[in-house]
Amino acid sequence: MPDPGNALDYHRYAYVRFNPLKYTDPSGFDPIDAAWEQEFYRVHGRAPTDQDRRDRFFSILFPGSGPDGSWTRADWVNYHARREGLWRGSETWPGAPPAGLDRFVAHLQRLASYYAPGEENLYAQAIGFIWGGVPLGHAIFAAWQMATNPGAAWAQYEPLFEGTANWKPALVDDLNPSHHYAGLFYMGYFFGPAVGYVSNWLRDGPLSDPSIPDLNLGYIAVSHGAMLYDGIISPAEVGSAVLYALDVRPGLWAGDSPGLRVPWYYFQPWAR
Amino acid sequence: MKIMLKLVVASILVLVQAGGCGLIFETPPFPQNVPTPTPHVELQTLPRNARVRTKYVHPVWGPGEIYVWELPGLTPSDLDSAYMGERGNPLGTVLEGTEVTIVDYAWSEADQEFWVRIRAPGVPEGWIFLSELELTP
Repeated sequence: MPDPGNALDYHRYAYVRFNPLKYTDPSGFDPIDAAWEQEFYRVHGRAPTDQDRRDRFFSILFPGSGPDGSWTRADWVNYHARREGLWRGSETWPGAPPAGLDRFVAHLQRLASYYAPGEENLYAQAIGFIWGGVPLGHAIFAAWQMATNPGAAWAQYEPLFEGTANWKPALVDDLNPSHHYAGLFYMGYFFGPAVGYVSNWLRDGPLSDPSIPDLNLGYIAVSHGAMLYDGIISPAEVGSAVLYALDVRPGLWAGDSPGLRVPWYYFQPWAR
Repeated sequence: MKIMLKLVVASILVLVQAGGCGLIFETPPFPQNVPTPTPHVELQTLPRNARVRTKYVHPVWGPGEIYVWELPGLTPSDLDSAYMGERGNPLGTVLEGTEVTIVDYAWSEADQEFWVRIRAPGVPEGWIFLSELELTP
């Protein structure tokens, strides 16, 4: 609840105090919530690291070989034998959709199922962490590290590889555009559309090496992040919004869709 | 007022650096101008035989598969964005344990590893990490 005595509460994006980690998990479904951390401690005798959290997220995004996609012991052995190659895209994971936009969307939707209404900030943070290589922590410090030395962050936590199949070519700058989408989505959610759009422009516009595909993709990603913050789309709809705006195949979306409900100020001419 | 000031300062900081203003902060995200290491002695006579290293055989899924890429992962053309080297498109996959022939090699600054061009059954000639292979006589 906003506090009338606190000026920050009148700023929509300061409402979360730029601090995603401050917020607890009311539903208990957050994949890295306190219950999971306690169970991890019980089994391993130590607190989980960010690498452990990445492993946990991977087991949520990719189905295992057990009943209903649950993970067996063999799946974990398999994962640890190939972890580096799986994250950087040199290895495949059986049972996963082919690398490309469909897999990215499937993962966004699997992840969304772990968050209840009111936990959008945790979902946005997870997106930044998994696909953007955004360090967990205070959003301002995380954004600083991303911008000033992304190589250092990525050397430690390389974004998950998703591939480019079915992405609109106008939005593809490299072989793993989902990392760019996730970084700007994070900016849009935690800093709002104004800061997000300007950051995107600074990052890939005239002040840097102009990269039109990244600029296009960044605007859409900032829009989606801000839309999630404003409740225009829910975590469960982020995957649909991605399909609508980023997929090269026409006609995937008709009638009412998150993309069609974008207010005019979410500037995204490339989404159609 | 104090809080608002902090907010403004924070926003300015984000604006300045989130632009990746490498113009201001000289922190290149990738290793550059690193001398290419001497190629492994095994690569100095090509072609030569090798086998894709088997990391684990899953009881349900069997051996794993690795991507064969169109290009070696050399220094990315866009340092601001392409966090991995330019690999082109995946041409297909090879199963672990597959016998292959190495026909070329290249050093990737982006990956800090050697890539090798391989011929393998069922997939067009393409590139994989040298570390994925064990050399055979």
